[in-house]
Amino acid sequence: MQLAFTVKHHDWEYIEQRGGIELLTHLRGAATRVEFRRSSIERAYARFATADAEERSEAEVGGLGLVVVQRALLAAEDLGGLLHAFRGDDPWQRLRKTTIPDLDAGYDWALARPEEAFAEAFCLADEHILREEGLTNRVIGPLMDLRGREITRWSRMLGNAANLWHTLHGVAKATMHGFPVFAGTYVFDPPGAGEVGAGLRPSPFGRCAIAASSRERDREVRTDRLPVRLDQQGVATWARWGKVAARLAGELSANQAESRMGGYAATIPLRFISRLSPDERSLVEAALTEREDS
Amino acid sequence: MPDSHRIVLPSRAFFLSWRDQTLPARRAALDDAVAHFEELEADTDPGFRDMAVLGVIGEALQPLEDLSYLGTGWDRPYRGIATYVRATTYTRSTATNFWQESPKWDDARLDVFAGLAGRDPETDVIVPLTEAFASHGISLEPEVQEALYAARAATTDRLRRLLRGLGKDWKQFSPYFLAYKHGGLAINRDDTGFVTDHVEELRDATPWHEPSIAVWTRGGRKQELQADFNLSQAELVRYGAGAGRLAIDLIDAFLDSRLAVVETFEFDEAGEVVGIKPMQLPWTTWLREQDLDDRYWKRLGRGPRITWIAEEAVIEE
Repeated sequence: MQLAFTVKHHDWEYIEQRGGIELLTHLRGAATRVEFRRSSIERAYARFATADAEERSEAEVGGLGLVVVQRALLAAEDLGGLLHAFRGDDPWQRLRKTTIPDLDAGYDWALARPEEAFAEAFCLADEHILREEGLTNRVIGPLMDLRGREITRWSRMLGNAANLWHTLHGVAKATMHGFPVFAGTYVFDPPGAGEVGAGLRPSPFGRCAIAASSRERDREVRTDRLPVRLDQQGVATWARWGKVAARLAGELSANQAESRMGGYAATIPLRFISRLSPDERSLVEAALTEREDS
Repeated sequence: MPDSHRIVLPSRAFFLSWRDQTLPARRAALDDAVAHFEELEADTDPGFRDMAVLGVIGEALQPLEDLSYLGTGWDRPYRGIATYVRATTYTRSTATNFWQESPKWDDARLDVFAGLAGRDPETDVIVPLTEAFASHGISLEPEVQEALYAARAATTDRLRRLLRGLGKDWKQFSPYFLAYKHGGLAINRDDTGFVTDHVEELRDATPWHEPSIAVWTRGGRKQELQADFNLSQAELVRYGAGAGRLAIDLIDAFLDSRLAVVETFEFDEAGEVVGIKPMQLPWTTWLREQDLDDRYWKRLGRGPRITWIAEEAVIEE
């Protein structure tokens, strides 16, 4: 059996230069992937919230909170993988070979160099590109306004996704590799958990868990303890940030896919076009129409 | 008496967390994933449906990975520290190695896995609990001994069979599990299709083949993609969920076999051992009714009950 590609494009050499057809089809399939990730987070949160409202045991409710954490971090990994992919050559291979350090580096890059990340990963055009396209100052002004608004929005979303990743990827990794997570109630309620709880204090927010991650180093075994909030507000935040990460991964993928299908390297999203004045909006729409006709 | 602070209390918290937090979470996550798939409408986008299938595989294989860490932890514990610590150590190969090797373990290693034997912390030698009883002066009636040995043999037989089956499931589903966790790498059906190898040009009459699921594999594998053409999506979901539920049941038995020991200790609020309660060893926790002769069930029930007796006080003249 072999895989055939049915997507149509006018310039396959261009697609090869931009990472290949496999990458293109994967990017084009992002919408349903995102919808599923968001839906699975919502379902996990609903189960957690129900158990919390029913006042089931702290350990049981905490466990359901950890399912929310795990699913939220899958979405954060999706985004981190895309950031890593588009900051180097051969994005398709990079996307499928990610390691935790790669994902860390992807997020760090996007936070430290947002202009570069929005250009490379999100295909966001800058003023220089707009002038190269032959656009006039009258149109560039409103387009740069739209660009600024999108950057503000993406920066906020990226900040949330990065917070989620950096705060919890160690805990999420634990839930996916053996689940060595101690319920807070067994660590902090008498008789305690001995050395596992040594030096730790209960979360000021309430319910929590402690993930244990051990490593062998020479003749020593070292165990790191990673606390995680599992109170209602904490878990609601993890769920919200996970859904934001999924949505941002979707927008990045859509921009990348559209840029390949349209044969252009960068664009300005029109999400905030309704915030422009009627005159500015007309200018932008006219410029778009002219471009599509040409 | 093992160190309370370093070994007994952490082990107790580890097992109780597993029983009361993690196992219910794994069950709930798998049930939710299956329900998510089963609730899909007939006209649901194929891409969403594929992710839902991967979601079931994702939640089903997690308990197999969990079991591999628990099994590895007790098979190869670190010396001088609590046994559970090995189960908290991540390596890339833990799950794959366990599922390849455990079906081939000898009886002694399976006894340890089942909680019917322990490793001497000084020598690492495997000591069956029946021998440990004898060395501590606990004598068992011949009929009880016979029942214990029969249950032990039935347990290793059953475990070897189940671990072999789950090992195959791990191998079959791993590529989909990894694709789900790392990037959601389901192949986009809108832009692709499968044809037989001899097709060189797509025509209107070219027959297409629909897999139940198809994914891009993680980089470095010889095969770029993995697909299943043998099962329907519903069958794949049922099969995968079945493997996950079996793994969860085995973890339940694993915990049962260990909790009896940690729950025998009574602690004060400061975590000091202040007493020892009677203990019932869950000797038959791995077995179903049909795995053991009725006469042995009557003799053993859930397992032997151990009551601790304090030494007589010595009266000084």
